Amino acid sequence: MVSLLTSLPYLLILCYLVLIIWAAVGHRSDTMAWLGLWNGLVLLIALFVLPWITTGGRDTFDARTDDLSLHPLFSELLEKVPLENVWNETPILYAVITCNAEDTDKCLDKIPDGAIRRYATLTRNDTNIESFRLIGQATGAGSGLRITIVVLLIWSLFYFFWMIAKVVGMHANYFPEGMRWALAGVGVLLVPLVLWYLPIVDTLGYRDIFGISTVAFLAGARVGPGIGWAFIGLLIGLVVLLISDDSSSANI
Amino acid sequence: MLTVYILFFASLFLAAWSLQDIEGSTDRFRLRLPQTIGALATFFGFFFVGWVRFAPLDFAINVIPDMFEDSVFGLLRWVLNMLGDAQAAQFLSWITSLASLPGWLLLVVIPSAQLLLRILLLSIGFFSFLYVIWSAIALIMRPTPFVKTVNILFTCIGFIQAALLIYLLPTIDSWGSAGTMWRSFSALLLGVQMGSGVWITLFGLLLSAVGNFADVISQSQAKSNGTYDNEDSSYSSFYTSN
Repeated sequence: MVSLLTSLPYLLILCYLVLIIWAAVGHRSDTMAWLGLWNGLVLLIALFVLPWITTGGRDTFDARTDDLSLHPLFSELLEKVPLENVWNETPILYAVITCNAEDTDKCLDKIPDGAIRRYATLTRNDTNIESFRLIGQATGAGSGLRITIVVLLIWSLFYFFWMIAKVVGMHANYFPEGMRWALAGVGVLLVPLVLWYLPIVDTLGYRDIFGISTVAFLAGARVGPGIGWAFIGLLIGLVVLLISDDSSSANI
Repeated sequence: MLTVYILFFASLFLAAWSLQDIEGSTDRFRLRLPQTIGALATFFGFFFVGWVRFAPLDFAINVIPDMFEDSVFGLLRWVLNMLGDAQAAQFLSWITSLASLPGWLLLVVIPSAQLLLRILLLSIGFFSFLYVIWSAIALIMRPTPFVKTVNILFTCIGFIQAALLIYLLPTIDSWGSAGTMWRSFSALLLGVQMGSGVWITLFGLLLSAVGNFADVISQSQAKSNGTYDNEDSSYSSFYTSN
């Protein structure tokens, strides 16, 4: 599974190049439809298969909490700062550095903030987190990420089925003409949103919530390839939508 | 987020305006405007606007208020009271602006292991000068094959730089600290965040590349229509002849 995920981006790039060259040389609506179909498939792979967040998992989480709890800086800090005063504001940091590694599970259960607790548990238990699993994680101020993922998911499904219908020449029967422009319009709105979340998806789209950033640091969370491929798929999808000619494709 | 939206749609509008009916265009200003704005945005975004912001005060306020209550915040509150409301806001904005690094200064603080990011920053810094100079030169030069070659070259370089910048956004946002525990932790404590300079530079690069591309298309169309001669006609007569 890991080797498949590692080699997948190279396969995607190779197929993209072949199809783009074919579409450019052929410059016919059927070649564009095949490129669009492949692009729709890439979007679905990016949303359902490729991770949007990769973490170091349980080993990294426990090793980092252990390192922090043993560091003299924090021993001094804990002596000066009464724990009960700061528990409600930054529970995660104080929870982990006052626990031994083997007690981390119990310490995480004590975190009062539900979003931080869920994210800590998720990043500790899983090394690859796909987009659809983030929908339930980002809540409150971070619900923008959740909405973006849901809209992107619906957009990708519509786009994929539209391209299937276009390849088999049935799209005129099932999809109204205005749908291409509606998809293009929503796609244009999605581009800056996905671009905005691209660097900060590892903190669930939050920019300044210390607890979430701390969880991301402890788990060694990094932005995975999924959101990057989703962005590429979205851009190429938009280009295909804007330059594909419906009137000629009906003759495929 | 609003900055990204405004920049994105302004770039989109300018690019669409530049490319629309380019074949019959007689408006030099319209053809060169996206490239000129893009070049200036790249230069301004890279050298003068923060790519990375630090917010250690946020950390102190959120994490260890008791420690700072009687010392740093007490002093700050005293200073703000002395200044009054209007000057206090100015003072705080001044402190905030100090706690940010523009793109060229980011070169100094990122770890040497981030070689790709260093190369990208160097190339953006170098080419941003050339983009600005070229945007001025291209306005007065005749549409020779040399001009077309440089436009094609700058289009390719601009798109490559923009693609690399998008690829490296997560690395910039984490201050080049991904994978290194203590550097990540220092980034966490310093409240490191990506600044708006990255977005301004990115949209500047894209706009500049699209502007150069538009110029290439207009020259190619004019040549295929036989509306200008490489040796004789001037740039302005080419456009007015259309």
